Amino acid sequence: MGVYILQRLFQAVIVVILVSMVVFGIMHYLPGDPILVLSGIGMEGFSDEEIAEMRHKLLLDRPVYIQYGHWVWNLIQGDWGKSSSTNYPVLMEIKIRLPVTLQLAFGGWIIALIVGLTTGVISAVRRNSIMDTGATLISIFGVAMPNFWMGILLIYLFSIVLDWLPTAGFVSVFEDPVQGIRHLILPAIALGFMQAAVLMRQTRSGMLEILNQDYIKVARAKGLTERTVTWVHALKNASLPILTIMGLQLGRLIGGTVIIESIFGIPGLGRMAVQSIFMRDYMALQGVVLIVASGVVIINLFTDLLYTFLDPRIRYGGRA
Amino acid sequence: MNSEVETSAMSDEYLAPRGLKHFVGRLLKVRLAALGLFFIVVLIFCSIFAPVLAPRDPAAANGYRALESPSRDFLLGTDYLGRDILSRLIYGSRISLLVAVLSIGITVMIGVPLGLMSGYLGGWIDTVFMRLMDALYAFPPLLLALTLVAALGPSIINVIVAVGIVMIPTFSRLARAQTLSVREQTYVIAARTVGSPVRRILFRHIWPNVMAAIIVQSSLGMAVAILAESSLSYMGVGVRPPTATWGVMLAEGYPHLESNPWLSIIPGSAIFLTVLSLNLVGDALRDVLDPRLRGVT
Repeated sequence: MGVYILQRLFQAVIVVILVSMVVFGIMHYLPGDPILVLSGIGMEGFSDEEIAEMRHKLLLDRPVYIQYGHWVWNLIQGDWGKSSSTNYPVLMEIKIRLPVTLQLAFGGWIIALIVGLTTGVISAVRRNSIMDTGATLISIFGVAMPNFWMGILLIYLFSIVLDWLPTAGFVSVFEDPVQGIRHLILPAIALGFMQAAVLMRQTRSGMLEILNQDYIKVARAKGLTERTVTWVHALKNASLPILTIMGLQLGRLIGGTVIIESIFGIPGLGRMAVQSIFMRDYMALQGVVLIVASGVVIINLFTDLLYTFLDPRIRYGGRA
Repeated sequence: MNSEVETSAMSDEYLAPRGLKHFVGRLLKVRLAALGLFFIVVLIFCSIFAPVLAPRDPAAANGYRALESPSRDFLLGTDYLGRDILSRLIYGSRISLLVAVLSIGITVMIGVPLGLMSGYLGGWIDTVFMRLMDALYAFPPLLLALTLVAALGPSIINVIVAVGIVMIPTFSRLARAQTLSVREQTYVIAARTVGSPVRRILFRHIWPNVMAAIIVQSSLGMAVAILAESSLSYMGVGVRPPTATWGVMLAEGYPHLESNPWLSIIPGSAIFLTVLSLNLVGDALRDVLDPRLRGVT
């Protein structure tokens, strides 16, 4: 198991290095002069000598691998550059906005978990019933529902027509739990609904497979209640593939916040990415993309390791 | 040489046991898929004959008739510039289908050969390609597409390229996994033994057996492409106004949500129904082309 964990850690480090290369490559080959990208300022009014000096200062006259090495070294030292639109260090902006995006992503994740797991289990237990058909139809629709359209429909229904919840904005759940949750409900549902549909399908098929196993028949024969058989014995054994999906979903949810934050006016990383594109603030965009992609790699690594820890076949695989 | 002919014939037979008619017949037996297929056919028809079907010029503005509700003159109403929503919806289908088909084309042309080579050749080629795919896979798809469009500039071609690149890891991983399972089949070993070149083995013997999975994934991938294009256009970084796309129509309708909700509901419904239809057809294709997966979901 130790060797496996080390191998996975090594692979994750390699992927993060490749991710940084991809980000550097995209930013380096942006159309236009890289000075515009790296300095965040235009070149109007600068003489040729001044431009050459800036080029030298930003290492643009050096080979690409030296530029990349210098960029990575700066990243490690905490110098992620300066946002040209706000003039604040990019890392500081990320530190302010990351908790906002994480609250939204976790909110979506919890919605996906509650709706997906519950409907998936009920659907499997009551196979071919009206509830099963209804849940299956909702999952088919849910997978096809664009999250931004879902967000707009939710705003129309719950904010405009019923006036139950706020249209937009963000309040941290740690500062004001009631207002925080009120502001989080609609974006979290919009974000998590599609993932709930995916999780429901996975849970249903996993549970159907498990419910036909002999040990479930034995549990029933021993007189255990149907609730214990379903939620303790069957769900526990169906949970491993579900866990993988849930881990992968957290990464996808963080990506999905890009558009949901724009609709609900939430000041998170996704909105920062979109705003930085309009402001041509490529340092900020580079920072957001790097932190989110690296975060996804780390989440996937933890999911894999958790899977290893929970599945004895993998845990003791090396000794068998 | 004879053995090669025989083995490839076997592959073809495996793919389509009783011809196209039988295949379509089985596909149409799945009722929801038949509905989805019908909707897609209607959509293709609308996009091809948009100039004939659209009652008005989709870009023609008329300030006096802005934000009108659906009526006999304007079947689906007008937007904030007085443009006919029905005409814009019909023309918007062209952009959605164009992005879906061309971006999948890019993905298949790059991702599938990478996956085939990776799976068949193995070794360092496999390691390099797959780690690169892992790196691309780490990027949330929409964020990567957003970054690529920002880098390339907002235009329909760049949206197609960006969406195509975003889907490459999924297709190459799928092609690689399928190749790994086919690589050790007797007919592939036979072709290798008689000295067939790698290119011939890949495209003559392995590709026909990988194709079914790629066709299924392409149908599902088109849905993803339409979602990605409309998301990018909605955020204002994809296809730019005044070109009529469903994402742009949604974005333009959002400020008027309180007074004119249909401006958001109509284009959103078009995106939803198209994605739903492609998903239904994709699921049915999987059931028909790969019976092992039937009933799993």
